[in-house]
Amino acid sequence: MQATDIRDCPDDAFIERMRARFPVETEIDRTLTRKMRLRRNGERYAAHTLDELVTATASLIRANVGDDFTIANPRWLTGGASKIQVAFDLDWTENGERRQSPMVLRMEPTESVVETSRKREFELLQALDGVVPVPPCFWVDAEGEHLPHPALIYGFAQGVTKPSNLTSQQVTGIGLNYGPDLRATIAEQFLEQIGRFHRIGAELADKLPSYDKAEVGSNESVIRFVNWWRRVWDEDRRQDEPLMDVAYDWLIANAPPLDHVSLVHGDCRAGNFLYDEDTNEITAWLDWELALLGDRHQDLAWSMMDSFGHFNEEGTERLICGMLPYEEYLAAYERLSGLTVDRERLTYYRVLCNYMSIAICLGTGYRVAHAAKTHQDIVVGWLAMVSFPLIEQLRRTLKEVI
Amino acid sequence: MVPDSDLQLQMVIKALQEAVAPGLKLDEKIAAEQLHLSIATLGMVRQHLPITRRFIRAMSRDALDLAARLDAVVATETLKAPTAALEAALADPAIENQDIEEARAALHGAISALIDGLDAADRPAVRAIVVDAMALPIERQRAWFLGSGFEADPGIIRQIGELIG
Repeated sequence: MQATDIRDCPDDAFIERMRARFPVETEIDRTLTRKMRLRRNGERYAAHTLDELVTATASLIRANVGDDFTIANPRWLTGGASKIQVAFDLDWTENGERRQSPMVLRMEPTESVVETSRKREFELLQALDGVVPVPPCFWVDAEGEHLPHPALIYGFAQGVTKPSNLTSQQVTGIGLNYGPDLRATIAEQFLEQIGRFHRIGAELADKLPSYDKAEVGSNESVIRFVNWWRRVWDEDRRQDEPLMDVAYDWLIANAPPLDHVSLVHGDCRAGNFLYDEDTNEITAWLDWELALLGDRHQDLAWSMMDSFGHFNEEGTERLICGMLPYEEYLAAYERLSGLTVDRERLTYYRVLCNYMSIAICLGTGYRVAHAAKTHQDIVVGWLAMVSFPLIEQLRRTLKEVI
Repeated sequence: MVPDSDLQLQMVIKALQEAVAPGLKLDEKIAAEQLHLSIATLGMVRQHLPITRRFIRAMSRDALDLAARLDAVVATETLKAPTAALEAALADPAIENQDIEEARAALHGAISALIDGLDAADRPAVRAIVVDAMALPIERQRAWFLGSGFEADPGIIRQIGELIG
């Protein structure tokens, strides 16, 4: 018989023990603590109708612009495994000027496979205006006062995440193949634009009040980040995995001080930006919910995970992130960003990114599907199976370094 | 037993594929994706059902092996009781799969607690043992979930039948 799991209904003592043991950024702490407190009420995900969400969206818009607006053509959007998305057309008056724009409502489910802060996402999208293409962000409901759960409204960005003739059925863009004609163009833009936000982390910091600062020469932000995912793992996992304990132990003992403060995307890979199929230009970077001020090698290592790559058409070389072979990928990043790649740091972040993705897929993926917390438990449950190639990657990388 | 679990799953999969899927409208993308994954998940469960007990027992033997290797370098009482409990579970022909799984999870919990509380001097040896000993159970799990399509190079994974004896 299965024992009662404290993680299904955490008491205050458990929640406080996690907070004390694994200190994280202030806003991350608030978000994770909120998740655990809400979990106690045992609420399962209840499907929302489009009408319900339109009414709640109208309430949020009304609170920001008054009564003079109309919402038309609401429809569900697919894509991603973590948030509920609804597209609609908005006609409204702002500062005396009549405006029309296609919009997207992005709302959390009861509990998400990545529990993050809409407030942080809102701040960041505003700060990135003019740095790289991002959807314009209009309004945020950080605490779910208007919507059933925290949400934000941003402008609908045109473009596709993958070639529209691609037949791949895999979830959330994993193993995305742009094809030989498009690959080089996308790779060049992808790496050049990563370089833009990697270069200016320190300059952006003052525009990001919900982000804790990071300092060159200190590993404090790295340890906070490791603790973030250890806390998620300990709050959500089904059972212990000794390899995860060994990895955490090693990550804390070997956390490298920052050599440069970057804005790190956090889920930097093919599938998380849109491009125009006519011009082949990137039109918008998406899914900034895991962003932080930290080390650029995190984004590089994340984008280099096996799950996001595939072999070329000849079957002779593995393409990192579906774009370039390993050495060419790193050389192109250095050339286009003007930043260096430190191989030792990259190895550290390979361990860390594997650790983080296992915490998400095997830890939270299990917990939210088990407790029926999302609008797509079947997708999250399917995604949990990517954990096993990830665990092997983690094991292999640890074997290199211990 | 008619209908048995395998036949029941076969019938459900067929109904979803042949009666439900064609009824979806083209623009119902969320429903289509979830139906596709539901059918694939049921297919995987159908493959797993007949060999689940062998898989659980193999994974349990891996946990016992790891505990024994750790015990050889870190003399500790921490692992003795959960090891004995898992050994007893494996020796009991009437025990349910779920109870074996719980005993394995308890042993993994004890191993994790041991790692958390290690002296600095013991850490290198313990890290090396865990990294080495986890190779086989990880391969078993990768083979078990091979149908998910997440393996970059599925040809390198041995078949599940070969891995669970």
